[in-house]
Amino acid sequence: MKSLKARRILSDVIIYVILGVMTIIWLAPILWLVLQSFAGEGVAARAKWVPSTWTWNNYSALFSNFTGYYDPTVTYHGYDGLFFTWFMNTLIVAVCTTIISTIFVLGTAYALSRFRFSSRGLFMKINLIIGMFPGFLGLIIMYWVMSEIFHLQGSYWALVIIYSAGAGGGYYISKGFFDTISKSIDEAAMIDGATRSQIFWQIILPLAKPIVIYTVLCSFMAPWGEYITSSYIIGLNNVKNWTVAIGLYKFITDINLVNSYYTQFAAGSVIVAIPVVTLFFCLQKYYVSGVTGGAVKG
Amino acid sequence: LSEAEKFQVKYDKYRNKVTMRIADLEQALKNAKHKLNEVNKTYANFVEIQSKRNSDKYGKFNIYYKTIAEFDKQLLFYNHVEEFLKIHKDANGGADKANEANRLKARELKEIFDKKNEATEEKFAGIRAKRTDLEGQIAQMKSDYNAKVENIRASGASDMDAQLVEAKNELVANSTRLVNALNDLPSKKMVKALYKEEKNESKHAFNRDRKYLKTNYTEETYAKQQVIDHMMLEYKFEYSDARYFTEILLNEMGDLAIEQAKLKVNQIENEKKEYELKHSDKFVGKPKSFREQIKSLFDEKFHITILALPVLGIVLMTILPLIFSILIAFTNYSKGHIPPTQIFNWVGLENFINVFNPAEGSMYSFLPEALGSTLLWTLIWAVCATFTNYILGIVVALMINKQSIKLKKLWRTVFVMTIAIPQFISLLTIYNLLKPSGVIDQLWLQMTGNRLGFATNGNVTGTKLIIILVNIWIGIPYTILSTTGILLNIPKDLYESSTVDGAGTFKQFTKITMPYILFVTGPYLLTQFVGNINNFNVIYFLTGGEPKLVGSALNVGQTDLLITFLYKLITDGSNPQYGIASTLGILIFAICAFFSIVMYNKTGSIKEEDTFQ
Repeated sequence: MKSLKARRILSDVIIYVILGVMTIIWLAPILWLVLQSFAGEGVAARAKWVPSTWTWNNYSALFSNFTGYYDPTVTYHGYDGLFFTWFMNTLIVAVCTTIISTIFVLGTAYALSRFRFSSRGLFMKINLIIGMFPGFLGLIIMYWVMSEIFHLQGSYWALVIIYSAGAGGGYYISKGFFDTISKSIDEAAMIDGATRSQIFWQIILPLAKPIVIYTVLCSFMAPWGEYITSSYIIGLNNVKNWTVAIGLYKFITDINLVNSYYTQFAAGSVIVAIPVVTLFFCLQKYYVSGVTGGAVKG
Repeated sequence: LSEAEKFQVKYDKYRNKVTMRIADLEQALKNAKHKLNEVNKTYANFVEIQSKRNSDKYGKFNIYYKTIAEFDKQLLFYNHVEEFLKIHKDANGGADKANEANRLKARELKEIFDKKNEATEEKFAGIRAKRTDLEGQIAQMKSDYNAKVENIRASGASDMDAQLVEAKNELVANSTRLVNALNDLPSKKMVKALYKEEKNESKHAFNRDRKYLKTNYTEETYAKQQVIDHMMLEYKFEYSDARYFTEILLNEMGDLAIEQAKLKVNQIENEKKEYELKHSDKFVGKPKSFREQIKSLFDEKFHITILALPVLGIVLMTILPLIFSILIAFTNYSKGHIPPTQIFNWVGLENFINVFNPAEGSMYSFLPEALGSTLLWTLIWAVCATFTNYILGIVVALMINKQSIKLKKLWRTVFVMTIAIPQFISLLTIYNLLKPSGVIDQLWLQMTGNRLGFATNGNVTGTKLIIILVNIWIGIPYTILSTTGILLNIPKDLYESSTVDGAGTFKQFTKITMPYILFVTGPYLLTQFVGNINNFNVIYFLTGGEPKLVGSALNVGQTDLLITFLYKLITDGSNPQYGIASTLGILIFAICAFFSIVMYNKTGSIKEEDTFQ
């Protein structure tokens, strides 16, 4: 008996050690990034775990020369003063996309979960097939459509349209969650005279709070950190319309920029990450129950 | 008589005339109405009237009423089969009698017809005689007058003029009465028409009545006729329907007719109910008003409202661009062929040939080799990334969820942290760590004396290994979150009984936990696999496909996946290869579809969608 207990304690200890090591591995890069953002020695800090000199300048430099708006008559030194514009662009895109695509996703999921109509199977099959094509294969056409038909070439509003238009296709997790809500609730409400629309807005959505918040979070995070579509649609010339992802990527990969902008990249990354991480930790409970509740059903 | 009195007389006369006319017309209207009612009652049963009325009122919706009327008719028939059979039986042996009776009746009918004809002849002969009589009188009067005038002229009397005037006045006074009487008679034309009509009518009536007085009944036809008559008289069947049902009754139903009819009644009632239920929302007596239709869009048709925009978005912004992109694979859309200044055209399978079997020495000759290595690496990557994440994620989730482990929330939060940070930030940070002159590179140099050589030609295999390791860092948290719920749901008694049987932790993991999770997360695994084939972020931000593949004309690298390869082809500003890119896109789709179909057939939980509810 004693040996059994000893074995259990031993296995617990091993697990604690493994989890501890993993915690260090998982947090180290993030911590390192934060430290880098305070480094005073520029790109040389990359070779050190802890920077040797400390400064706030990386943050203030991001907002230096900032006039509140982009003035095309001013000749900018590099990308100074643009970060705030990018940040606001990203915020606008992310918020608009979140509102539209949340409604799209939840509506589609509810309709597919609760209604049995003739083209339902076809829709789900087509959606499955679309999912197997690389998403940005359509970008070539999208770019043309956005510039020639919508006259939104290089505008971040094109991103809002592209991100949210196809959002309805990502209904899987929400539908899985709606499926777990008993249908007898709907039936009871219908007997009491509620319409399907009332049932959706006043009964199902409050019951599905975790998945609503999960969808909002995902819809917000996707455009927030999205690079491929935004860089292709906005293009490298329309600097003032960039999102943070394009700007920060440019900071770190452009050989001419990386030396002077490396630490600003770190500072910018921290600023970009803060809103999402905050949001995430406030709503973590719902996110976790949304994923675990809905994902199981695929 | 004074003028006023004259007027009064005239007025009274006129009023009487009008009043009488009105009374006549009212009577005629009453008769017509009565007649119409009779016609309706006689020739259409209630369902048909309803159906007719509705069909007039609601046009296309009458299909519903027609169908219902059809059901009712059948029910009416099958409900009274016993009665019809009885009549059929009773009629047996009555054929001769009926023939005889009909013969008599026919004779009677003929007599009546002849009499009627005679009466008509008489009537019209009278009218004609009256006319000729009047005409004769007038002619007589005229000739008398002429003779009188001759006489007076011949006599040469002194009051000849006065006599002539008197004679004329006399003629006018007499003849006016006659002419008026003549005018009151119907005209010759009218008399002819009336005569013809009356004759025809009586002839038709006779023929019609005569037709039903058959005298050539056999026993069989007589009995049948009796049943038909009964159906038509008692149950208002149309003649054609009555005949049809009689055929069924006598020829198809046979000896067990009554039992069959009972079954049939049940069956038809069910069918009718089903039909009514099925169309209850569409045909509740009448089509929906505009307002009701709008209302239904928020109730039983709410899915249409709520799906309209998302589906439109998917069709316009996902499906259509995708279709056009696929079509691009069959064109030469690329540098030098970009509208509007240049023209591009269909080239058939040229792009596919360029990808799989290009001409020696062309700019595409490197493609098959590049594609081969990229494809191989893509598959290795997808398998490794999916399964390392999956298995390690489950192991970590099991560790966190172990009962004796404390601080569960803290551990989970650590992993959620990596989900919260946008991937491009975390990946670029790790890239900075690994990059030559990055911290980890320095550490490696101190430990082994060599540089790490991440994303350089010196260490391709190492680079690939690192990418998979970094992907574990990125991907495990998602697996942990997704499988936690499943792990909590594994029936506990499985573990208890296996512990009693002496199974260890490892054995429990391989024999209980894994099979259960594999079954439930089959679809998740599939999505992950397809997602990893298309995993753009990890490769693009970590290595950007580097190191470059030696000898490739296009900018393809050794760690490029098909998807990043494709991206490079379309974003290469100086030489975009849209056609080749689309060809690669189709290839990626084919691979994903292949694995999906294979996995779909292996896992049960996708198919049994409704069993979860």
